[in-house]
Amino acid sequence: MNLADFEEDAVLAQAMQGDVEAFGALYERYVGRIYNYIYYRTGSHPDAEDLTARVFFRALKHIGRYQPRGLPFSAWLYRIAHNLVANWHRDNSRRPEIPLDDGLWFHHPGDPPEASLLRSEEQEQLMRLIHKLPPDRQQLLILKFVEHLSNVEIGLIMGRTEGAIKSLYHRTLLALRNDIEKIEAAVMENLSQEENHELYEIED
Amino acid sequence: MKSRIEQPARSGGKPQFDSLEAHLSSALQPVAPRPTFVQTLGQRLSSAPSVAVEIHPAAGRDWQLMLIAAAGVLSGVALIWLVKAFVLAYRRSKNLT
Repeated sequence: MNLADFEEDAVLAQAMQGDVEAFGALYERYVGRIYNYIYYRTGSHPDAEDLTARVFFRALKHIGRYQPRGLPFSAWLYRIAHNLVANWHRDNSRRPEIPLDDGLWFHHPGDPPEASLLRSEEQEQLMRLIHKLPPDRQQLLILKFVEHLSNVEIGLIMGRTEGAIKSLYHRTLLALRNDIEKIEAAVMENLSQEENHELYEIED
Repeated sequence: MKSRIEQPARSGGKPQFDSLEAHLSSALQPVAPRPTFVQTLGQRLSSAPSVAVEIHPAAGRDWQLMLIAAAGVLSGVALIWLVKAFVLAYRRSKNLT
């Protein structure tokens, strides 16, 4: 049997009976997704590695008692990851800033340096705003934009209906846009103050 | 500076998020974990025991509590027996005299 082309249910059943190779196949299928999810929730590669390892060790420990309940296996893994990330944030709550690794920002080859800088500044600002969103909204954005999952799939993972996901997504975008507008207004105010200051200096 | 992230736009009363979605799509790109990390973790998982016997943290405490309770009951019974024996012995000695 080629485990790369497996039927998930069958492999899952084997893994639940203690088949290490079957669990390994599940691991290979989901390690990237879980890593991505944790990385975008923590903003740190070392923490993402540590928490990803914990997710899969916890899954291995409890897979014998796993009950699908009509949900995909990934939903269970994401739930474990979500809980571990929540604990991580609680333990690191005194840290003032979420670290942003270099790999988070992307240089587009061929761009002039100033365009690249502008883009990275905007993305950095956007990521900071995303990190300030409630955890469920962050999870929704990661599953939608990093994993490219549909609303139905996201609903299965997050335990909500498709309609609830659509509504949450809309509210998330509205909140993000409001935050961006506030920042823009503050920047514009600063700029006008600087211009006024320069005018006074010239007049003097 | 005027950010290019999002300009409010409305179409038919509904807000449009195309620009914001494009920026989110650009910012939230998949990242690949280090291959050595994936490989090492896979090896660690395959060598880990697949069945783990979990001992409830309270289980040890339950045994200790039961032991303390049993010892308490036994010492109480022993104390009552001793007091009774003392009283009996005292009465007997009094009757004899």
